[in-house]
Amino acid sequence: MPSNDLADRLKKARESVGLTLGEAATRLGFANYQTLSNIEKGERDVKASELALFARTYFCNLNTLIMGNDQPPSAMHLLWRRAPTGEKRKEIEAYIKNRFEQYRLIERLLEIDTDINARLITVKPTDIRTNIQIDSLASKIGNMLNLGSRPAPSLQRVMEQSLQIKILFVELSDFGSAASTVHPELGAAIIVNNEEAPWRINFTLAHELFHIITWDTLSSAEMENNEQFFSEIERKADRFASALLLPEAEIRQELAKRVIEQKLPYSDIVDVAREFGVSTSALLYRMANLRLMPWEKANDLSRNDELAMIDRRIRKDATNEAPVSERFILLSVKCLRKGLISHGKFAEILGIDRADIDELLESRGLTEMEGESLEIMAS
Amino acid sequence: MRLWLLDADVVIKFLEIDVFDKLAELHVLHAASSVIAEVQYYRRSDKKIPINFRQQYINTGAVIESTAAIEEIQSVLKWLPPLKREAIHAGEMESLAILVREEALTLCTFDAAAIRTLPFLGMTERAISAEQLLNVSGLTLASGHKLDVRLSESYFRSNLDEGGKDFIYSIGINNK
Repeated sequence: MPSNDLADRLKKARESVGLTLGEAATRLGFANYQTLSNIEKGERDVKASELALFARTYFCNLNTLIMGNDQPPSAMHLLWRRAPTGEKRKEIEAYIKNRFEQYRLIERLLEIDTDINARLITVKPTDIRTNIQIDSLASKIGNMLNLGSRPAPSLQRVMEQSLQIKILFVELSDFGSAASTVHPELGAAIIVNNEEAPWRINFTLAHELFHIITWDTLSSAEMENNEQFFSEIERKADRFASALLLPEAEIRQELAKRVIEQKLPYSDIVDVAREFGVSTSALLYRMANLRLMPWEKANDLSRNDELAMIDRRIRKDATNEAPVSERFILLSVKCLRKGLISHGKFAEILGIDRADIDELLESRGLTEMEGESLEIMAS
Repeated sequence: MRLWLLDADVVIKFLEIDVFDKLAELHVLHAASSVIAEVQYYRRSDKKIPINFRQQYINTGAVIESTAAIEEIQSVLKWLPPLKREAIHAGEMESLAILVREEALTLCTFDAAAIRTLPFLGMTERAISAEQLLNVSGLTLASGHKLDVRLSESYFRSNLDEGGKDFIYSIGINNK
């Protein structure tokens, strides 16, 4: 006999991603919407083999779909740089939440705590009023995290390993470059458009780090509903990212080495930007806020064709590989190695075919077997 | 032997090491619908080979397909601690539910997480390692091929032991 509870859960799951009966039926591969309608009314049994497809299509947890959930999970509020609109937002946010939950599951299996507040400094609204304060905060964070003189190359790893911020690379296409969230149970996450160039990803990470640091300080609901306030916070996040990735002393020193008779060749501008792992525009604006050139000049240069051409030429060797979260992959492999997740679950969370698991491990120089254990002497 | 192929990895691995057809001749093979749907490819000599498992093995009667009702899956999941439920995949859930119903089946898996669920379901004695299965079937690997550690009896036993410890620990937790 069909389960009405399951039917209700399936209907709610479909609605939560904003799909109509027809759209969902097409994605699920049903010949017509009537079959799905009958399932949702409890008039047609759901086959066990269909459940995984439902969970995949609706971006929901299979266990919750089957067993229900006694305690509704806390809502996730995503702070978007440019929020998607309409039903598409529901779908993409459901997808992100599902990925976020899977990441947290891996951490829970490995008994990793995610108390973000325990790892970061407390920031009050009065601490980020002026540019000087924001620059000082960036410098403090850079020192706390030991980011060194070239912060960009290690930023992602440090954010993931030291702060345990979950970085999710998602195909956001038209939905802007990023979003961030801090969730009471799942921890902190940054969602990055996986189509972005590596140097833009670095800036995005630094920008979103500001939002995470100030999450409890600034009401995200207020930011969404007050455009002027939001713009101001975004400007501060950009300032923070710029100061974090392009430390003043290091930038001045690097530029000084290259300036001859107060002139800096375009190719050197691109080289310095590349060395610091940021876009050429980001460097130009940083130079402007360090008063090394007027803002108007930075604006003009960021749209300069010749500079853009040099930029493309110098960066043509930049990696085309899709960005990944090394931490997520390593933790997932650790779970597989320790027998904490099955191969099927591993393939599901990494979005690969089961037959490709060995190849993925080999390509990353990883192994599924733990091997012998080394005895460590007590010191 | 009425042999239950617990998950897609067993099927894929037996196809990869080219013993699947021989096992199908020697035993009555069974698999769950969800598992059948998950077998899409296998690898041999570094090539990814697509397979229509349903057409090749189910429609020809070489493997018997079984399905579980949702209520059966729910009953099985209730026996597992919440984190263990999350650790297994749809195919394994359906497989375990059918195994509880079909008591005459002997199951084969080399998935550590799946093996570790068996003590929770009282199915330890019904499981067989891939190495043992190959031995009792009189199948040996071609010369130059070494048995994957995961298929070995020792790997199977050590994970069964770990699952047993987890089970005892969970009883302790529940009784507190």
